[in-house]
Amino acid sequence: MMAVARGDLRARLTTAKGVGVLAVWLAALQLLALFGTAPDGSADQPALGVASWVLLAAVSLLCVAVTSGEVAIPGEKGLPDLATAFFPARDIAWGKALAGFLYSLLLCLLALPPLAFLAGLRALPWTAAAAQVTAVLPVGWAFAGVGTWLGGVVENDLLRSLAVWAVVGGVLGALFLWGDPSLQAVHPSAPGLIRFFWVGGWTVVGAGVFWLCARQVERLRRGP
Amino acid sequence: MLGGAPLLLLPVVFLCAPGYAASAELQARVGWEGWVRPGFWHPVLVLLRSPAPLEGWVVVEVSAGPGSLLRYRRAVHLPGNSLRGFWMTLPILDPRSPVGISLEADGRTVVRTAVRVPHQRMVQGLVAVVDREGRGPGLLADPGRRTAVVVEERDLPEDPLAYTSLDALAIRTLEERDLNQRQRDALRAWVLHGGRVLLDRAFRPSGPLGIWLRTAVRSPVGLGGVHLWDPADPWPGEGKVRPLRRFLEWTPEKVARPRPPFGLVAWGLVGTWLALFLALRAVARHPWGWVGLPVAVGIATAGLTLLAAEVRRQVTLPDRRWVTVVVGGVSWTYGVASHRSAYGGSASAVLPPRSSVLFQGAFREAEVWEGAEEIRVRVHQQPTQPLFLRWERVSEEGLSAEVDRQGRWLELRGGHLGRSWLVWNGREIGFSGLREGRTPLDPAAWRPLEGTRPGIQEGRRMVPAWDAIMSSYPVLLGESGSGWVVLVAGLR
Repeated sequence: MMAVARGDLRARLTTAKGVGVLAVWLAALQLLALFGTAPDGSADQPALGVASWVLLAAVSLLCVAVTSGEVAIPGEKGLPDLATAFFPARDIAWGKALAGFLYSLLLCLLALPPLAFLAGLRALPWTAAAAQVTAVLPVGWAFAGVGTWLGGVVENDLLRSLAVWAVVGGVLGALFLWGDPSLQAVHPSAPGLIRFFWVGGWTVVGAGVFWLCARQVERLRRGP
Repeated sequence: MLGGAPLLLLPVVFLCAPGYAASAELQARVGWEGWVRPGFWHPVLVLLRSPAPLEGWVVVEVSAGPGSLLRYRRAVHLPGNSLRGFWMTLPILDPRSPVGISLEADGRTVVRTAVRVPHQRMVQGLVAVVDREGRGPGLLADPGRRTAVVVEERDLPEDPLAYTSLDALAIRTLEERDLNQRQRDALRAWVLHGGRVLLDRAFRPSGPLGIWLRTAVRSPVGLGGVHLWDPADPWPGEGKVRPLRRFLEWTPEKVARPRPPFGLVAWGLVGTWLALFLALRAVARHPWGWVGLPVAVGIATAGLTLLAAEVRRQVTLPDRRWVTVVVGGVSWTYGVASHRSAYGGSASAVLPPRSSVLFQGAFREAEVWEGAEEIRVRVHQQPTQPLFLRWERVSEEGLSAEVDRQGRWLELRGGHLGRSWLVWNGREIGFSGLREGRTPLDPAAWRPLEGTRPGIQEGRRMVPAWDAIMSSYPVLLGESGSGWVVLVAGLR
């Protein structure tokens, strides 16, 4: 498990492309904070809502893109590559889960300073931003699982791209259309109970998706 | 101080709560014997009785309109088995909502009472008549327009600002032994700054204040007026007794949208990006480089939180202005801070001690902590909406000035002034600085008054007696930081 996670993280954090992706992510976050400095246009502090939504969408997209191979990082191995190795299927799946969790954690950690800045501008404590990234973390993890699973299920690059964007677009679109109950959970002023159920729900989804990954490795080893 | 204060006050409610202060009692009276004039400053008398030593806060909650609450806090310390009373001066803006008064100690409410003003006691005009012989207000009352309320010496407030809800104070008798020094000073300060007193023709002074009032009938003092009055006569009329317009009305003015310091923010964010990028590079290059990443994130979070606080400070109540009018050794400061909230949330400010504070505009809750050294205010404001913080403060002032009737010299006493102008009879003469002592005035230096001068505009906007001051007296107008000093000079 640790070998799989270490390999993925090494690729994402040490290669030029991996670091480049993170540098762009950092820059995008600072731009988000700069735009959020503009005075609010209405009483419900829309900048915080927009920042929450952008954070949720961006972390989900990055996690799924990196793990599915949409953003191909040299050294990153997908499920078909790992299925030929000697690791047990469960170790491969949970190694991927650990790598996905740590990558999602890294993206959320990097988002903490600008979010704390936006919250501070609106007289909210930095802990509100910390709670916000806590709510986004399991979503990124679950989408890392989705990306990993799709990378193993769909062999054709074009079809995989279509599938990845269809899933991400579908889920985020559904959340957006659902409106308040979902977006409220990642808002810095979300009630604790809503955030608790949100985190719990996405953790279950993530665990389920990585369990599917283990099943997919076994399926790949059995052959067609 | 108020040992003889009446225990039966109207309207009064008693409530007690369990605990160490189980028998603590709280009484309150709002306005003049329970009469109020909505939209004005009013005296509020709070009486506390506690058999056990008690340390806590008296909290008075006043509605400022639908959804807006003003909460005033004053620290109290009561030795055991004592009765203590104290005055507060509060704006009564929305008398339909009761004034809530409570005593808090150890983080909980010990006792609470609410004073609701019956609508019959909300009036448009108000005259208080000091008469301990109970002879009544004479013909001062005018049903529907003006109510006359009979009060005794102990009912007179200790803050000049509290008198501004009166059209006039009629005095039939005044036993000065029953007045404390603060009450005497307050009444004198109110008259100096525009208060109107009607003095019964049969009035006999019982002390220096009475003598001063008698003298003021013959030779007017300050901006106010003391007039002789016969109780058999009706209201002397607007021509003679013209009350100052002190209504605390909501006067929306154009308030510029705040401009956040984008340059400062951009530099802060670029620095954050660089620091975190270097931390990421360290992760890539060193086996233990990842340890530095959470540290860098922590430092960046702390730095940007501080930056946010600074940005917020720069766009919160930045436009603070004040005008201090000095008459007869008493200064009356009118202050206002206004802004349009950029982000909403809470904002705070510190004001001089013994200021009476009022918020107007869009806000949910405002809290005022009245301390001995300073007054702290905090308000939860609505984004994008204009908010006004107003305060008034009266204090003794050593600065005074006199001008020669022929305009040959000006004498400043008790201090000095920076850049200033002497304004008199529609003309002005400027000084780069004025030292204590006599300054000769060059007749050729007089210029027509420049009405657009910021000090004059600020004074016109904030000082109720501005027109009376500018039309009747020589005035020294001095710059003082973000405010102006208006020194009403005497003539010699």
